[in-house]
Amino acid sequence: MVMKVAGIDIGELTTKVVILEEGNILYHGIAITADKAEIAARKAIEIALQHTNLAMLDLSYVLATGMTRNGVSFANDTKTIITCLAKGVRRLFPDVRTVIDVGAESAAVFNIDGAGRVDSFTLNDKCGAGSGVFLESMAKMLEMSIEDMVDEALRADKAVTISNTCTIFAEQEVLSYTFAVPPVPMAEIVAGIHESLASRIFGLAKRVRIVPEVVLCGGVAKNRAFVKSLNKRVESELLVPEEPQIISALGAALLAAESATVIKGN
Amino acid sequence: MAGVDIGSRTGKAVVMEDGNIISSAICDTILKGTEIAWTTMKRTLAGTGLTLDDIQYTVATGYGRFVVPYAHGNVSEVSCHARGVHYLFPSARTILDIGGQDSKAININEQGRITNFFMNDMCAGGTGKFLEVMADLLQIAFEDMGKLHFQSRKRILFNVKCVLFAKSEALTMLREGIEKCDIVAGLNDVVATAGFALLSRASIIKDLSLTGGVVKNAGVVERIKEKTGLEPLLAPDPQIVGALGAALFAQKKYLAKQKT
Repeated sequence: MVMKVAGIDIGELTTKVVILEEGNILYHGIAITADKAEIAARKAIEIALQHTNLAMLDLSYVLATGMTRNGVSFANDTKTIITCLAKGVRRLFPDVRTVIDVGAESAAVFNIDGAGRVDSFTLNDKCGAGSGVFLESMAKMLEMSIEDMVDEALRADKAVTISNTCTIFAEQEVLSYTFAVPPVPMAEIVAGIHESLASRIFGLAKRVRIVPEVVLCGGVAKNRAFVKSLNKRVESELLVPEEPQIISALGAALLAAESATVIKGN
Repeated sequence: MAGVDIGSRTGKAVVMEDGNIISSAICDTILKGTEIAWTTMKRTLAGTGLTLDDIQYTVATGYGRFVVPYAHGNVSEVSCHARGVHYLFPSARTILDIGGQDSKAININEQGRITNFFMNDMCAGGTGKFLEVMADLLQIAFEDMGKLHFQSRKRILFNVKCVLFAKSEALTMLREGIEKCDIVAGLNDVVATAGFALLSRASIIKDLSLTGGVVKNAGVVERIKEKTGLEPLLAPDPQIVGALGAALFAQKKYLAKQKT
């Protein structure tokens, strides 16, 4: 029988699942689940099983990660997000030395050595201005979709400066730009919003060493305007995986496969 | 003598005659530029029979102290709060001021002189703005947050200070069917915790006095009491203490001017 394993990453707003079959990705998916860990994980795995025509019993091993990973009863084991991210990123980019992960409500930056060990690490999970929720909050206030905000920002050749760190105060600043006389083009305002988040993340990244290769992942890595703004600050080219949001679930699945193989061997 | 405190959210003014407060007002509407300064003073003078010409000296304070066209001078809000508290409560050695968009912890000595102070104006977490955003989210009145606090039977702890994170936590709680009053008490606790953290950077020496619009919320006061173990001294209207301090400075400055 071919071995199938799953990795589940329970995030603040979404749950990511990767199913591996003999080391190859059979399924990856993202479910929107702002819910308790157990419910979120069940919802996401059910969707995954439906898509793959599998039953829970077909999975030899399930490994959960994410802040609330310990609340998942059907997981065989849990590992930290950083461990899973490191594993997942190295699978795609074997020469990675710096990982920048920007999620909905947190951001982390860490270094990996040649052997895949995580050596320095920094995290922001206290302030919304340094994570995806900053952009969402701004989009909501401007009554724009994130997609429109990105397109608009990419058209700008200049960006306004947002001097406030706190999202709440920055919103008032942005609002005053929208009423400014003479008017400030919306493109420059939304470009400023992306610049602000990029400068916040760059500040976080500077606390560790930014050495190539630098890989950017997490949901916010899908935002092209943000990637462009951050790339201006980071000297080496930022590498972005095709599916930046599922990297820790991929890592969890890879670790699950290793554990399942050990069990099988015994 | 008059003191005018133009804060981020409201304008406050106090008029004094021979060292006694004869009138005060709080202007709660958002007005642009100098309008807030004029409206606040107009409301304070209403019913006193006085006009602006009768005021011999006006000191402006607060974040908008430079947009008070009729002021003779201005003094920082930290000095004014210290001055106002020292006048009301000579035994006070520590002040926590929680305003609309910032908060301050101040130590003063027996003479009312400032010996230490810390300020948070970078993060809306734990300020009036925090509770305002949350009241809006919960669809309750900001003014009711103190009252609702005491209806709470279940203790809830928010593990966050950031407004954005607290919003998403509160939404999850609402979905789970947690009572609004319990959520409100949890939010008041966040404000008290942030205030306590700021106080801890200064020295918490008794007596402790609380000022600012947010401490009209008795729930916040209760939790600060719990965390500091001190019985805080509160002015009849803690929101006008800065303006009171400014009026006291006006008196001092006027007398100094008379002498020369």
